[in-house]
Parts: sequence; C-alpha cells; structure tokens
Amino acid sequence: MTKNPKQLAEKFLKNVQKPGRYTGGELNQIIKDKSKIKARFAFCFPDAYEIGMSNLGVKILYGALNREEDIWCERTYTPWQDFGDILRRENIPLYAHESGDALRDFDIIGFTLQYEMCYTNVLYTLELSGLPIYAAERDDSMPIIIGGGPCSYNPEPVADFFDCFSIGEGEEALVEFTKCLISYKEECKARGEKYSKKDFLHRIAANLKGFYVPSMYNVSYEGKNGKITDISPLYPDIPEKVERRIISDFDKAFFPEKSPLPYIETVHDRIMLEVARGCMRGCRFCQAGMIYRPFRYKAPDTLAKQARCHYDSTGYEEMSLTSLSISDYPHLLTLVDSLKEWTDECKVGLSLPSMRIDSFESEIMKKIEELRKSGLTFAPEAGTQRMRDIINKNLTEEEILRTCADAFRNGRTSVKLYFMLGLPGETDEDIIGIPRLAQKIVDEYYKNPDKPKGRSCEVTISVACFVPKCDTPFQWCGQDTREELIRKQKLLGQNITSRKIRYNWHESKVSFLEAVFARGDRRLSAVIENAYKNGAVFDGWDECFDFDNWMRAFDETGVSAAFYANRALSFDDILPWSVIDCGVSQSFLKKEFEKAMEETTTPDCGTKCSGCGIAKYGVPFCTAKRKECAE
Amino acid sequence: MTDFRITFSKKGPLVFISHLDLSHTFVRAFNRAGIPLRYSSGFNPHPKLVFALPLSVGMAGENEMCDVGLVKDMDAEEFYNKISAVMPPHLVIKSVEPVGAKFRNVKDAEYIFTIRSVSGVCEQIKAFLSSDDITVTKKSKSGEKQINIKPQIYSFHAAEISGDTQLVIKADSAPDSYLNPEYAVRALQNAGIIPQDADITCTRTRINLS
Repeated sequence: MTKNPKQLAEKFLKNVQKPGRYTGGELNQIIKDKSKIKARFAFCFPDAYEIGMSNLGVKILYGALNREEDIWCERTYTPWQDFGDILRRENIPLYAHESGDALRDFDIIGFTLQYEMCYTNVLYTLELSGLPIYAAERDDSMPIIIGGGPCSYNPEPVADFFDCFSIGEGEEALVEFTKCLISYKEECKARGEKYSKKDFLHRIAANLKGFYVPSMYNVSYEGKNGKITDISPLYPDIPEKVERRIISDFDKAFFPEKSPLPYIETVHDRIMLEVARGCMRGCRFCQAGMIYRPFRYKAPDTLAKQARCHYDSTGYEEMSLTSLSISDYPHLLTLVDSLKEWTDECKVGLSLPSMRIDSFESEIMKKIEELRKSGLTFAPEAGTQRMRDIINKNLTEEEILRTCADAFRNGRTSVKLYFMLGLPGETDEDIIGIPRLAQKIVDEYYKNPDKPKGRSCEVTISVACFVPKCDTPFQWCGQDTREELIRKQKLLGQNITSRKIRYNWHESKVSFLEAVFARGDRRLSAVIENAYKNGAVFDGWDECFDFDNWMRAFDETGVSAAFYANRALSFDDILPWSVIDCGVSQSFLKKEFEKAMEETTTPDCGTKCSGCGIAKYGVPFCTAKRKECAE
Repeated sequence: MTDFRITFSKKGPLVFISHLDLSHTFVRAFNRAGIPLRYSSGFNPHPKLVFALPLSVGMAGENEMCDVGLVKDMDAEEFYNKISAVMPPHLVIKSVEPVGAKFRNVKDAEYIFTIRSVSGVCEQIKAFLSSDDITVTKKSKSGEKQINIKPQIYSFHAAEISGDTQLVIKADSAPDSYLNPEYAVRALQNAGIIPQDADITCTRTRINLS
C-alpha cells in the first residue's frame, strides 16, 4: 500500500516543535468515505495550527460544508518552518489533516484571510502543496484557490494569486459554490468536454452572487506607478460590482453542533458562543464595524441550547460569549442567567470580550466574575473628547472614569486601556490626552476609600498605530509616516507622570505594511512574491518578521510603499476595492468622513438609523429601525 | 466521593501530545461524560488528576495509569461506561478499578522500540547493552553530565520481526532514579549499531508498582 503524505511525514514529527500541529485525528473531526464524495474542499487557515484552530469562522464553514453528503471539507494550516523545511527536503506535499491526502489533489483550497500579514503564508502553503503561486500558472488539473474573510474586502494585493474570492458570509455561499463546481464537472463529463477552470470561473462570476473572480476584470493605471484610471469587467456578462453575501435570519444560521477539539493548547481554547454578528456602533476607523453590518443576534433560547451543545461535544472548561460589542446584546442578562443554571455546577467559566464602557453593567460583571477574575480591558481609543468625537466613539470621560471607579470598588486593582495613535485630525494635545486620562484613572483608584490596603493600582495603556482600512469612513486618509508615529509614541511616553501607568506601544513597522496592503492594488503581488522568495513568512510573528526584507522587496520591484500607506485619497479617486460592494454605501462613508472632519458624531443604529445602505438586505433589525425613524 | 484508577492506552496522533495536553484532554472527556471531578481547593481550583508516570512526547502507551477523584459515589462499571463513550479516538480506557498502591511506588516500566527496516543488528545490540558501562551524556539545566545508565536498565531483549528490529527494555522508573530508555537507544545510535536516521517508534507497555 502506498503511503499518503501524512503517513510519509509521520516519522519526522518527533523532530519538530509541537508535532501535535500536524497530526489531525482530533475528537469530532469529520471522516468521510471518499468513494461517495463528489468534491473535496481543503480549508486552510494560513497561520500556525493553534491560531487557526481558534477561529470560529473555520469551525462554522467546516460544519456547513460537511453537512453536504457529497462534499468533504478537511482542514489544513501553514506548517511552521521547521516542519515546512522537512516537507521540502523530503519532497512530501502538504496534506489535509483528516485524510492525509495531498492538498494539490483537492477540488478546492479555501484560504481565510484574517489579516494582511498572512499573505506570505498563503504563498508558502501553495508552494509546499506543489502548486504555482500565481493563478495564471495553475492549470485545469489543479485545485481552484479561493479566498475569503475580512481581507477579501480589498483582495487586490493578492488578487493574482487567487482564482476567486468569496465576499461576505460563507455559510451558504461556499456550499453553493462547491455545488456549482460539482454540477459543472458532471455537465462537462456528460457532454464529453474537458473541464475548463476558466469557463467555470466565468460562470461563477456572472451568475453566483458574492463571488469575485479577479481575472475577469482589467485594471488600468496612470503610468507604471500612478493612480488607477479604470477598473472594468472583461466580458459583458460580468457584473461591475460584486455584492457581499449575508445571512439574514441569523437566529437560524447554521451552527456546528460538533467541532474538532484540539489536543494541543490553542490560542482561544474555549467554547465560542456567537451571540451576535455585526456592530451597531459605527466607529469610523473600524472595518469590522462596517463590513459585518447589519447588527444581528440570536435569541437567548437558541444560544442556551447551542451553548449546551458545545459543552456536551467538547467538555471545554471555559466559554466566551462573542460579538463585536457584547454589551449591545439586548438579552445579555437573561442569557447569562440561563447559562449559569449549569455552568457554575460544571465549573465552566464565562467570559465576555469587548465590553464597552458606557453600557458596562456591574450586575453582569459580578455574575461573570465569580469564578475567575481576569483583567479588565476597555478601548477608549482616544484620549480627548474631540478625538473621540472624530472617530465616533460616543464615549465620554465621565463614563470612562465612572466605569473604572466601579471596577476599583469591586476589588480590581488593574485596568488595561487600548488607544490609537495617528488618527485623522490628531493634534499633539490629543496625544497628551492619553496619559492624562490614564492619570485620572489612577487618581480614581486612590479616591476609593475601600481600596485594598497596601496594594497599588496598575493602569496599562496599550497604544496601536492607526491603519486606514477599506470600507470605513477613514479609507481616504493617509497613515502618518513612520517618523511621525515614532515622534508621537515618544511624546506620549514623555507625558506619563505616574509609575502606576504602564505603557505599551505597537511597532510602527507592521502597521505601515498593514496600511500598504489594506489599501493596496494588484501591483503589490510582485512585492509579496519578492519578499516571500527572500524568506518572508509568518510575518505576523515578531520572531519571524523582517522589515528590512520587505523594504528591499519594494525597492527591487520599484513599487512605492508610501504611495499606498501615506497618501490621502480624494473622493474622485478610483479605489482599488471599488468592485467589491460591502453593503455599506460609499455615499454613507463619505458623509461620515465629512462629519468626522467637522467633529460631529453619529448615533448608533440602535438609537437611530443613519442610512448606511445595509438595510437593502431586509434584515428585521434594520427594517424596524428605519420604520421607527421614519415615523 | 470515589477515587478510581484508570488504565488506558495512548496511540496514534496522541503520541505527539504533551503530558499537560493529555491532562486537559482527560478533564474535557470527564466533562463531556458529566462525571463531576473533585477540584482542589484554593484560589485557582484544578481537578484532582494524577498520572503514574508522564510519557515522553513521541511515545505511545499501552497500559498507562491515572488516578481521578470524583465528588460523588459511582460504581466502577458505570464510570467505565460513561467515560468510554466519550473518549477521543486513540485514547482508550482499558480498565477502571479502585485506587491501589500509590504512584510514588512506581518501580519500573517496560518499553518496546521498533526500529523499522533495520536487520542483522540484534547480536550487536545485546552485546552493547550487556556491557557494564553504558555511559551517556545527559543534558540538564546545570550543564552536561556523563552518566552510566547500565544500573538503571533492568533487562532487555532484541529480536527481528519481519524485517524490523524490536528492542524490549525494562528500565528503572522510581521517582528519584527514573531513566528515559531513549538514552539507551541513542547510545546504540551513537555507537553506530542503529543508523542515526532510522525510523524508530516506541511504546511503553507496562508500568510496574511495588
């Protein structure tokens, strides 16, 4: 019997770090009879196993695809370099975890693109699979390479590597896509014709909503390094805009009853209960707040059942209620109470991520806190009211201080706050406002008469660099230069007045590259290829990231990084991502940008519909709000 | 309150998970089975789960042992049925019995090494391991040390089975004089008896308590 690649690789596993990354065989993995399968789908998270296994989207899509009898979806991750080197040396192709079969023998390989810094890992994964990195160089015998996830809202920097992108929520879309491939292949067979990938992709681009096929569009530029002058479909039946897919009845959205349970520790090693999708806040820098609209949530009964189902199939000792802004969930208290009917007894700890300060309810926190006290984290994002109004954070200083005072009264001694530097319209006064706010929080601690004796407090301020993202009101803004960001980071540090304040800042190098790719176009594929060929891989990991290598890649390819990162765009510019319609209208984004410059805020969707355009999807929350606002 | 001793096997992909990961895997299995574990008291309670002897990453185990404390009474058969129904593949419960001798009484353990596609070396292996001095280099935090491991090798046997060589070793596993038998195999590799790049797998077949 010939061995499959996984079996061939097994004897080398004892020589690598964390061999459990590569074995598969987890509880709840799905094994199917290959003879009954019409399409094989390899779902790749292009990062280390312990990151990929933590992703909720992968779990959902794995379940949704495998619900189909004739589709078998398997998982794979980017091998860490020690194992990648062995695969290369021994000439073993990268495999899918369930069957151990080579990825290159699959019908489809799907990559979820969660952050820009994973792009070189996509190339690495393709190469280890024995596949050419450019779509144009892959023939009809090779799998279709499809991308999805948040980076697919501007897929242009990696457009040349992919055959296709799934735009928006994939639960239904990916199943439809795979079914189309099955029927297309059957059709070809019946007609005695050869399967043509190009013809299939053409059909998809023309007929299936939510799929973008980059090779069906032509992009023209003003000279080699100039602006985009035109983006147009190559054929009359190809749509000018690709509309994002969403699940309108979220309560009935597909829910995976069983998901593979990792043996080795992963980053989010717990139940992730997806309470809500979308965010109704409208912070102007936040891409997630725009591209996951509209706000939808599940009924507490549905969630209670799903939570129990998760527990029974995994036995996890922790559960996180996930949502972009959990405190906006209207039934949070009901849900927490119903979960606590059994979680306390089973010793399952509940945690809430992303709390907003204003809606922070100490009643809920007290319930959550009982089992384990974790640090309290908040994201005011900016240090002054003016700046918070520009970004539409809708949060006052009084609210921030009151919440921290509450937390201190409840016995906490440390608070962590997230901020951003380099936001549009920022002045030095706004930057100095950050340590000032932190100092006021420290003062708040010492105002508490019941503070624990002999213990001081710690206020951590963690400061990221602003990255302009597509499909946000700030998509037209340039990023501050690195020199300017470094100056601002220093200025902030110089204004810290207390040793109770701990200050962390993000390296501006990574943020700079993120800005390049977030608003980049197709000319960047040459840069990514160059950096990759010179060793760039796992760029999201500090120990692997090599900035100089990237800068050389820009030099060698003659592409200006600053052109993408630091340049402010005008409303007349053709945006590289203009083919992708994320559902929120460009006119809304423009209006929001103008309001930002006027330092005026926009209320959240729960208070008043701001007419972002997403209501066209007919989700009940929007319809009701629109009606209410019209009255 | 009941305490059980579980004998289990750990094979396949589970060979590559660490002792700590194995412990999590067990706790989650008990959770799925709805078996209420006894937790330690203290600020950060954790379940009472004690293993006889940690298994090196990369080794399979045929008869591993673990003691677990429950908060309620349960008979061994019910416990066995409940837990067996939820175990992941390759982690198999072989028997459940009342807790006997304490694990600090672990005396020795037996291992089988399979050296794939290597033949004609049995006599050399036997001669090498029969010597009174098998000095190996052990790395520890305080640096490298030269140690004669022969006194910790209680018995051994080598045989050829369908083109592979099998080496059976019984080694000291008492808490303060435990020997990882891989040292013996590495010594055989360093002596040139077994090729450096040989495909070697190992299974611990028994743990003996005094």
